Amino acid sequence: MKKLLSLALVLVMVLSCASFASAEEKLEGTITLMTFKANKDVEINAMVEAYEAAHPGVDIVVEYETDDNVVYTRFAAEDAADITFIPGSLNLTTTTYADYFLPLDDLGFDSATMVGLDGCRGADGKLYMVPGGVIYRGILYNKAVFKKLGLEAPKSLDEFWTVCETLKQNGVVPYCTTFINDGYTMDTQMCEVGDYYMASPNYRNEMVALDAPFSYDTNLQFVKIIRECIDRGYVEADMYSYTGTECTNDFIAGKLAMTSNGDYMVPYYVSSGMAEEDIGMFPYPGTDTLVVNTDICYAIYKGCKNVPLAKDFLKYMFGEGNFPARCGLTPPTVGAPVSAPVAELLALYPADKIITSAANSDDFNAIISEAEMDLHGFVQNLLSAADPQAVVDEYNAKWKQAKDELGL
Amino acid sequence: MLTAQKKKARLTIFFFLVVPVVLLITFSYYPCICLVRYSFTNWNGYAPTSKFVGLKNYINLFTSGDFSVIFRNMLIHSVMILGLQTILALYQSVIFSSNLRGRKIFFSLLFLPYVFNDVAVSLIFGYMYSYTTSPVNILLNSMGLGQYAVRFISLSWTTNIWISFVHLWKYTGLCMILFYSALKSVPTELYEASALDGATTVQQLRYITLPSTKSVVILNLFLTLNGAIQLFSEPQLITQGGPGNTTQTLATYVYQLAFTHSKFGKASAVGVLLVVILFIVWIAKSIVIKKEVE
Repeated sequence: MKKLLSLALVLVMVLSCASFASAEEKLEGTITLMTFKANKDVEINAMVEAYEAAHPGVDIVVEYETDDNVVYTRFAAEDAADITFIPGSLNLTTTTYADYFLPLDDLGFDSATMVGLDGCRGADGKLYMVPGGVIYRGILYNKAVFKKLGLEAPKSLDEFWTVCETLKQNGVVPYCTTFINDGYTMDTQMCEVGDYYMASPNYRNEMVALDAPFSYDTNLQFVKIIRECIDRGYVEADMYSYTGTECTNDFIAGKLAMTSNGDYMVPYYVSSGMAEEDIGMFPYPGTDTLVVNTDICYAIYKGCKNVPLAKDFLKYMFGEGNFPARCGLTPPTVGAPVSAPVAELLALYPADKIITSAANSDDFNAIISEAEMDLHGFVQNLLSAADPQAVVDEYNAKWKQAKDELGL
Repeated sequence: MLTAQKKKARLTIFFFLVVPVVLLITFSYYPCICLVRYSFTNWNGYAPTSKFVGLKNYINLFTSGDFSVIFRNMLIHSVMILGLQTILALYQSVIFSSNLRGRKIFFSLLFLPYVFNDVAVSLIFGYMYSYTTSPVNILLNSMGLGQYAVRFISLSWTTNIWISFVHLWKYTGLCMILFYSALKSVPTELYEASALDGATTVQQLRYITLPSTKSVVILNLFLTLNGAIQLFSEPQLITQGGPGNTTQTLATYVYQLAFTHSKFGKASAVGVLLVVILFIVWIAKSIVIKKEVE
């Protein structure tokens, strides 16, 4: 009996050692993380080093890639990074998520505690991505300039025009259009900001049912306001050559007072020498709803050779690793700390007026792709054309044609 | 019957040729065939499968409003670069082939832009063309002539001229080197004899210099045209093909279709069109140069 007991004890010890060893084995080896946040390499490398220090034998290789085309090539060659960012231009449909990524449902990410997760699910209902952060949009303004001129953040369109005029009279450029800004900002003035004016989390997807979805009375209301700013001489001297860098420098220097953008600009301004208390945000004139967007998502590639490590690291990234904050974004976690300008903005909305934008539907993406709609160029044309209604009509026609070709 | 020596010689030739031929087929002709194949599909650039769509990509390309703008831009770049670059390079090379004092320094300075990286050059000119930071406009403002400040980047077709100028600035030095080498190969006795006969400098240029360097000039013209048609880094880095579509070229259009709209099929069709245009240029060059040699 004693022998039997001893044998059983030894067996239990061997088995537990074996299972412990196998659990340890899972968190060894190398994985790659591909991110586009090349300007945050110091912060991201520090996060990786902390993880590697806590997990001896683990090597996380970070690839910084700002060009979407590299991600395309890696996907086409079936050689994507183990954890990869997913550029919006990839236009993946939810039905194909399972072809490229591993489900993440076992990682404990929950829609009740993380914003925007519903838009990260595939057509099969499984979770395939995690949003890299959340974005609060509004008019960013230089509080020091406003204070100096005795101005307050406008609460209506009329007040906005009064503020613009006062700024102009005092030699400050009231508003920056970010007309060129590397081809990504202008489209948000119609898409994301359009959501604010439509007070709907799902307006872009509702557009699919319309034959002529672009209108100055609906999603182009803010574009109309920018155009009026141009007509009234409230914008930069030459919007065709005024770069994003110039806009940032002039904003920090107080030569420029306002611009429309996301809260991700706040850490950028702060790291460029501006005090956080000098940055303010106010809602888009004439809106009463804040529509929260998510930033570019991250997923685990299906061909990942070290799944346990990739999953553990992804969980760490969005947990104690605090990856979104290191990237200068507001974390998607519910209740995560926000910057002072965002806190100021959020205080202006009742809880039921803060909603989360739905992800673009497959149909919406299909129409945009089929019509080859360069939305950045569309807004540029709207702002500079002699007859903007002709531009609206042209894009509505493109939309209708694409819809017909897709049979939607 | 082949002798053992001939067989050995042929084998040697075969083994010498097999590597470059295989490399050429693998890395030049096979991608070209793939390009043509993809141009008839709706491939999105990363999916393992795609659908055959026939001539749809080509029909869309030729019927879209974008194409006429891109074609117009290509013509502007070709005329600007081809004309000005050749004239400037020829002019500079003629000057430097004389005994001008300090010509080596000027020669090096004019060639210097060629060794600069395309990205750096485009960034420099992005700064130069900014309405607020352009030294030209700063100078005009300081002289009280702010009303004449230049708007380099605008919706006008003239923006393409400024884009061409960047290419011109970078490559005129290289062009000049080619002309200079050709000029140096002209026997000096011809100039001396013509001078004794009372020929003027203009007459020497007309009757000795130009005929002697004609083949180099023609080759250079075609190489320059080739560069103008394929213009990419300057419009991509300075204006991203914008504002709107104002400075879009065939190459930037390929990039935009592929990496903004995930339309690798149509991008391939534009790529095929680019290859066809360059092939026509190459054939024309071969015919003209052959005639010159004969």
